Amino acid sequence: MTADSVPVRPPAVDLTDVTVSAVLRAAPGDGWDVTVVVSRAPGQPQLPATDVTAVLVDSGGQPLPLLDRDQGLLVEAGGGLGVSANAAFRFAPGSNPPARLTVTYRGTPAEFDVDDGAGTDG
Amino acid sequence: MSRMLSVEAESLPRASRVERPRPVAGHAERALADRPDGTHRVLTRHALSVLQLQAGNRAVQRLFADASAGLAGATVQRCGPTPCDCPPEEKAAAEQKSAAATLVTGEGGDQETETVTRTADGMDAGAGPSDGGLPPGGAPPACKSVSGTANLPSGTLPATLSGNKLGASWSMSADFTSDPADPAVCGPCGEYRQYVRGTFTKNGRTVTHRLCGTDLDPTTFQEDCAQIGSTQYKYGYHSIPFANSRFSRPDQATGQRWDGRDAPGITGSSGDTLGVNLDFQGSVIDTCNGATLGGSTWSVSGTAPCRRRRR
Repeated sequence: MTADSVPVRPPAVDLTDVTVSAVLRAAPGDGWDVTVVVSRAPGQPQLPATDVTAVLVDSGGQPLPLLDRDQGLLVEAGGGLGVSANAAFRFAPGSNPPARLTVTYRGTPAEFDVDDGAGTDG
Repeated sequence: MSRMLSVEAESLPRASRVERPRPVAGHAERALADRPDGTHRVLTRHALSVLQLQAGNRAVQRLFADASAGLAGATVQRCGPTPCDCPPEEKAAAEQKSAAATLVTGEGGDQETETVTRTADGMDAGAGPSDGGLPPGGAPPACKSVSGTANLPSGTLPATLSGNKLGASWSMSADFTSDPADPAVCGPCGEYRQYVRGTFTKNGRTVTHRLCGTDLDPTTFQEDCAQIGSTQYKYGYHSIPFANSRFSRPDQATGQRWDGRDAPGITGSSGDTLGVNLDFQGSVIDTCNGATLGGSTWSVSGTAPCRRRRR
């Protein structure tokens, strides 16, 4: 998480062979940027973007429209301990602030709650 | 029988045997529990060493202290060349023979006294401090000091492009010596720590790299760490063996040689401009005495465009 990001809980979710975390930020202009970070063992082939999905739901229970997402292979950074694959998503603004983020990695879901107060300045 | 527990090597025909053990928690309980057929387990020297390693000297001391005090019926029986349940006179003769020994090893009549200390993989601990590791109330042997030499990078390493990955790679190692030299005493003390700060970029934008609970920070050094599916990976810990961080000489638990390998980098797609700008601090440390034994600082830096594939 960075200074301009909106906290999500839990900070990370451990799946079988990866750990998934997410960074939510107000997008420049309008809307929301989500970066899903998949931490995994080094030395594997790059992940295809299609292995990761994200759904952002507002406090009224409505999914925010997905405007853009990574295509092809995901960029990943790291070293001999592990690497972090980044999957970027942009969502349209909703009439309510985002409240819940559901990420799936290879079909396995990881749920995140957006902290109260998010969206008030987004 | 001597109040001081005597333990014999597995290779000897004699065996120390624990009967009707008092239940103790975890490893000790499993190690000493009766067999399903009603017979009792023989506590060999190896088993005792493993028990000490896993449950701790104090737990083992407590177990045998209770036994010798007759609190719960655990007794150590010395049976000489005959497996347990030997006649009382044979048992008494065997006890007399070994009463003065702290630990008996060797073949036939050759006996030497040494100390049982925490070991792994069945390795002999070798001679060590004379507290024996086992006397009730005795303190575990202490590691007085550790010194270490490390083979680590220094200066600035250029990040180079290999396929679609921009990065660098290197091997690291550390050798520890100690007082006392017994790896079973000081082996767990020598470790390596690695800290990192900096950025990975793609097309000028930062790519997030998660450490353990935090992200890689551009300015603040944090311990290099990865949390992957509920397991944390960090360099240089006896307790965290993995392919890129291993102890040897003699083993992971007590090894006085550490070997590691790192290969930081960023992997993109054709057409991306990738950047790496990292600073590292590596230190060899004495965890038992809270001392830093030496280390190095180095950097990895570079920017390069991912080549477009030729069609």
